Amino acid sequence: MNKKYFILLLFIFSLFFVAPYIKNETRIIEKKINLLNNNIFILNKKLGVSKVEFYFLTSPKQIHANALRNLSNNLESYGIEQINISKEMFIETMNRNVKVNTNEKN
Amino acid sequence: MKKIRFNNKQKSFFFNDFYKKSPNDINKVSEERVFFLFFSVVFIISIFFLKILIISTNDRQIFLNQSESPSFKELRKEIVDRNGILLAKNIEFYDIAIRPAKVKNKKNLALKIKYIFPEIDLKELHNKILGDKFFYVKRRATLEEKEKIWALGEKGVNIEIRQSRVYPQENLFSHIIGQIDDENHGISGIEKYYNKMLRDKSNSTDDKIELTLDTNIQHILREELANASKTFNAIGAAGLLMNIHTGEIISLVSLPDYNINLRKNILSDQYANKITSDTYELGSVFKTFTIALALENLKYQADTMLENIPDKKKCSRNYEISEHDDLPDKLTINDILVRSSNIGSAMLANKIGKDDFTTFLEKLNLTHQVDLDLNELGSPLPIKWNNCTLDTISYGHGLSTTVMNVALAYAYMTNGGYKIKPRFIKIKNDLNFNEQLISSETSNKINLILRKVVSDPNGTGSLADVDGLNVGGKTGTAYKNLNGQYTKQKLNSFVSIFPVPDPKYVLYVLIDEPKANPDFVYETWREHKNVKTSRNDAGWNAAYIAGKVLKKIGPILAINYEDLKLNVAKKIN
Repeated sequence: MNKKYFILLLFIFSLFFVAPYIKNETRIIEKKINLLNNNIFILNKKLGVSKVEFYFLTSPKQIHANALRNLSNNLESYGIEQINISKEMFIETMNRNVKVNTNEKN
Repeated sequence: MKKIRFNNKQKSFFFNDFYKKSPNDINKVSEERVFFLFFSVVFIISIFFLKILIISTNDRQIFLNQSESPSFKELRKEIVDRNGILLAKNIEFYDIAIRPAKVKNKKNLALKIKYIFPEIDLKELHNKILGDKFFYVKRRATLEEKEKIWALGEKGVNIEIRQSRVYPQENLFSHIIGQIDDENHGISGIEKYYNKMLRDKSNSTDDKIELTLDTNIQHILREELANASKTFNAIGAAGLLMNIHTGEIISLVSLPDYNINLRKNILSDQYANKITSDTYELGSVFKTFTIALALENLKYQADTMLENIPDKKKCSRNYEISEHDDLPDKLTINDILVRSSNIGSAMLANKIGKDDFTTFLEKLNLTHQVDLDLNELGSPLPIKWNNCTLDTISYGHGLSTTVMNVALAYAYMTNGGYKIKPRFIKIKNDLNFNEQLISSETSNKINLILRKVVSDPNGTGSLADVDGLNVGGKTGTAYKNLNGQYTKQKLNSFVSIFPVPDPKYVLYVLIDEPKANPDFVYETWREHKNVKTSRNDAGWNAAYIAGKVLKKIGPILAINYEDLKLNVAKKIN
């Protein structure tokens, strides 16, 4: 038999072995994909539940209740006049307060 | 090339007569057979590999579709507030049921279930398992609970999967968001109004709808209204905060409310939406409309003097209009609103005339249902005209309308005179409201007069004054009208706008049937400290609560919303 026919035959026989191997590997990968998809599905579900729990536990009602239970002092809101929008505004407010105090002493 | 010789007498192509051929001929025939077999195998294998190649390259989607992995698709979109805080979400729940006929060891199963769900009454469960009827042990069980039940391996346990809506903020938005039925269709509130949009999952990138509401401000408003109901022993309260330029509703509270997760059948009228659904005669808050029309139509100024104002005014044989306090017989237009003069308002209304006055009320949409993205909307009642109606409507009696109608009319009057559309859904496009109802000059004048109601020593709304916010507003104390008869019960309101002179927001506070609380101590009132009173007027409860709300929400609005920052620098008196 010619040498090139022999190589061709050998190649074909090798394909006989490679084909089931590839098929088997594909099946394993497919199984892994399914498993990961299952895990993603379960994690997505848990994420959904956790998201709801997070927003429930951080809702103003819960935070307010926890603050009342755990903080020693009552939370006081800042008056709008106490909020400085910029550093310059803060310095101006401080200067004004210092002047008022100086006048009071005089 | 060698020429192959064929035996013409052979009986078959494949099974030819070997004995009649030379060895060379036989070898050549064998070679041909091998070739044939070889190419046949190559052809089959090629097809096989070609198929694998096609599947692995072009048809990857087939693999994905054939995958047996489960997928969870929410039947409704999420609802979030303006800051992205979750308000509603679909979650898969499990209904766990028992088929007693299939259970072998009934006592054992009852104990195991009790261990997983400690809140279940063991005796009752045991009795049910001993019976034959199919029953639910637990509805809306979580994934963990379902897995624990599944691990029991009991044939008699049935697990049904279904999607249900969860509202993590519980009561907070009960009157706005509404509820859904078992089939995941909206039955009230936003859930019903935007049902189609919420169920439309075709656009996967847009998996939630964003509302204009602010959860933190909603909580503050709700807390203060709940405290007000307690302090003044009221049967209910309501509040509304709206941007007067865009129509965005930032907060809407109506008390009593309910936990929308529990899905109880609520029948009492008290649970109706007091802002959009119930109609009331809201009292002196209407005087602002009379004053606005006097400024607009009669070309009056804020300091125009109205003289010879009587103490009492008889408009029919049986009905006499009076003032709630002793007021001078001369009042400026400004003072009529600041000191809340009923007769002054009635005199102005008569000068304006019935036709112009009615047209103006219609223009402000006080006589028609508002256009809002909710189904629970009340319609103002038709006006019953008699000799006194024009007088009484001028100070807010004789026309039943919703709080939303009045708040919206205040928005029109104070935003420069432009008609806006209230909304719950956040719109990213620029809004253009071009229809002008009153002139900008009149709107500016009204804003400054409303500021006087709060800042003036004689103003009825002084308890709502908050440093830095330049609050303007109007009190409204009205007797409740039930089935055409006035009762002794009151309905106290305070409508505020802030920051004057260029207001951005309107806040409406309503207290339903408050009672005087002589033991309650007001820290400051005008120049007095630690004041007690037995008065039950809007200035003493609704305005006070509005002030408390504004003090808390002012900083939040200033930080979160750019447009408020630049308006707090100068104090306006």
